[in-house]
Amino acid sequence: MQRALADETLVAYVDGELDPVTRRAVESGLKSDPDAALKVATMRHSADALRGAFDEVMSEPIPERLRAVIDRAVPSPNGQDSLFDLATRWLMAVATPRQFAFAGAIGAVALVAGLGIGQLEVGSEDAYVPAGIARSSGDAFAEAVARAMEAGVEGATASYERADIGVRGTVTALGQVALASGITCRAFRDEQHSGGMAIPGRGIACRGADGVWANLVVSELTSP
Amino acid sequence: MDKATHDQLIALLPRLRRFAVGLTGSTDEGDDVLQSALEKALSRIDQWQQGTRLDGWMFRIVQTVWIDRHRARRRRGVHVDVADMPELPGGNAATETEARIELREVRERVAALPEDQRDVLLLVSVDGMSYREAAETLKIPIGTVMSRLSRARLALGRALGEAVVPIPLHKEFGHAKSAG
Repeated sequence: MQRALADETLVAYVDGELDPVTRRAVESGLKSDPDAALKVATMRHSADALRGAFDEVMSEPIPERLRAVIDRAVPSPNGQDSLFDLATRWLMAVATPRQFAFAGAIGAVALVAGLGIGQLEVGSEDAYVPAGIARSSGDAFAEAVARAMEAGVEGATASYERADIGVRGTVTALGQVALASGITCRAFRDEQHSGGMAIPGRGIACRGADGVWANLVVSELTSP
Repeated sequence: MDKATHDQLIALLPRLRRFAVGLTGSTDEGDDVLQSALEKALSRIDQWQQGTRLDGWMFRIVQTVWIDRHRARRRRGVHVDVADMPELPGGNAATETEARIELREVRERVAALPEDQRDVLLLVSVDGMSYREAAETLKIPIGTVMSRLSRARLALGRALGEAVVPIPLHKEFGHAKSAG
């Protein structure tokens, strides 16, 4: 005799939150458990009822007073945040909040995207794996970014080279990004050359309260 | 606040509003709660970590603003129940179609659920968050999401089952007949 199906399991079954193995176990368990089957029907019924119950709130016009609260908070006048937005959106699409929290916590990690999205390792739940080396330059590159950033002015450059792997490049600081207090971010351009090929990249580097520059690179895969 | 955050917040408003209306059980109070939540959020936008999800952060603020108000009201000794609540969008019940009355009833039943079940229910079954997203938003373990959600869904389904859907559950009657 199988033990009774817990309500928690049943609701997760209805909502499609179970892994396939558990789901199949529940399905077979339900056949011989009319009480659980009735609960499943009840939970399904409530989900169906809820689906449309608040729809009209969604389609109503947003009251002006709510919109006004947001509009009063004046957007930053400089347009340099677009790159960060791009990077943020991209990261949000591939990573999970927990990874961000962890990456933020260790701060110093160079968040480098490398030559393609696939090279940023986001598969692991608990261990954020920086693919820092992917921009084929590792520390030398990160140091160059930090140097260009430290200058604190737009147009500051710093070069890096890793003769051992045939990579060199120049980082150019771009505009400063208005961000939350305690965090300074600046966009940069990276002209990297590797094996006779130019691999331009754009990125953003942010320095938190710990004073360490962390950077994120989005390589441009347009043909050189 | 940068332009992107501004736009993201504007785009989030309908979802946040639906959540607030669901929590409070009324459009007016939902809008009040959401307005306070937006003011609170914008005064501390620097606490939102760029790169983390703005929606989860905002939902959480709406929920805490509501809890604070709710507690304050309870301390003042004002008892609120479904019957006293201002009408939900839908207006005068007498002129409503049956479908609208049903929707209204669902919302009233949701408003009558215990507080901690209601927010989970709204995030998962109305907003469509995954269990994990709801757990992260409310800062509770996923097991807690599941137990609260299962209780809420059973209670709501049972309440609605009696009132809205005439489920043919007269088992005993049927048995008695066929046996007799």
